[in-house]
Amino acid sequence: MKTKATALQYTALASIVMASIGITMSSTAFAGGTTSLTVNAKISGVCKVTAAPATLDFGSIDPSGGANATASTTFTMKCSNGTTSTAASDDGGLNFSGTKRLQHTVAGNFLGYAIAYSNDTGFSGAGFGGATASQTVTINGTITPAQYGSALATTGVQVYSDTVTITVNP
Amino acid sequence: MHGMKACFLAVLAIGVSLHSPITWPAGSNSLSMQSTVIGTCKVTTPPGLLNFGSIDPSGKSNVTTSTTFAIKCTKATVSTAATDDGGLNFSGSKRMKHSVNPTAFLPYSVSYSGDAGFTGQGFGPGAPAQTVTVNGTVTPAQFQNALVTSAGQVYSDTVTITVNP
Repeated sequence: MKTKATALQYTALASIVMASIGITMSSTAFAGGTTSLTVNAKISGVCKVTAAPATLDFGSIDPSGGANATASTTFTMKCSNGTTSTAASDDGGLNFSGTKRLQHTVAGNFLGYAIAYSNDTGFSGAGFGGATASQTVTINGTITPAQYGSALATTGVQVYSDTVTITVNP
Repeated sequence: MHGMKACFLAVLAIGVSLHSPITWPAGSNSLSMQSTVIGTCKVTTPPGLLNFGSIDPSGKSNVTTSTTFAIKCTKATVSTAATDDGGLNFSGSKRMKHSVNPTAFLPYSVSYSGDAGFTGQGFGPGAPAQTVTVNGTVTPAQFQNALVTSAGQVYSDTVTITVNP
């Protein structure tokens, strides 16, 4: 009886080995004609200007005035779907020295000014497709009496001007 | 395709069973043997990651990327076009799925080049392999409104490619 039991155990063992071989062969043959490809991408969270601002034009300033001269213009932006805009920033313009400055057509004469942005922060983007919402950002410009009171007059076609590069974020 | 693979397995199984002792009947005087070599192609080097990288959704141009894999085919077997299963998230087009938001998808497409027309020279180590290129494309219409991926997030998909025959 003991011998017979041992023989049975060998038979069972042999079957298991054969089954294992069968599984290994099957798996190898199937995998040969196919392969697995993994695909990855990320979408960056950005805001972009979609309509550039028009000229921020202070017009003709009377230097004898006692109130701030103000002007405004707007631009629009869109942001990635799921991205919330943060504060816009700028490079200070071409003539920055302690403050932004417009430069007279006659170089070397400046007119200080300041700008502030509103509605630049907190816009929840929906992407850049044609139908997605855009945000209008307002640029508010200010020149104080202290800045314009002693400014050199512009005659004829003369003008004060500056160019500022604005960055929307992120 | 799968039928041919099954046939290949059946031939192997017969080969194994032939290893059993065979008792020849008395009086036998001839033995006929035949074997069929299946014309097939196999992937010998799997593709690397098809990585589109970080896509700026404000862009106006297609974003493309590519990777390659290698195949060998039975001697004198000419490869035909590779096929795939459409990936894990197919719905009208292949789509990658956002790692955090399960309802956010980024559609894309792939095409294969170098897959068809390769004449195999067998599977030995000295037999030449064919490099197949997988070209991936995401169009502006596909990515411009896609949900952003924050730090650690990614869109991904897995495609099973079959080389033929």
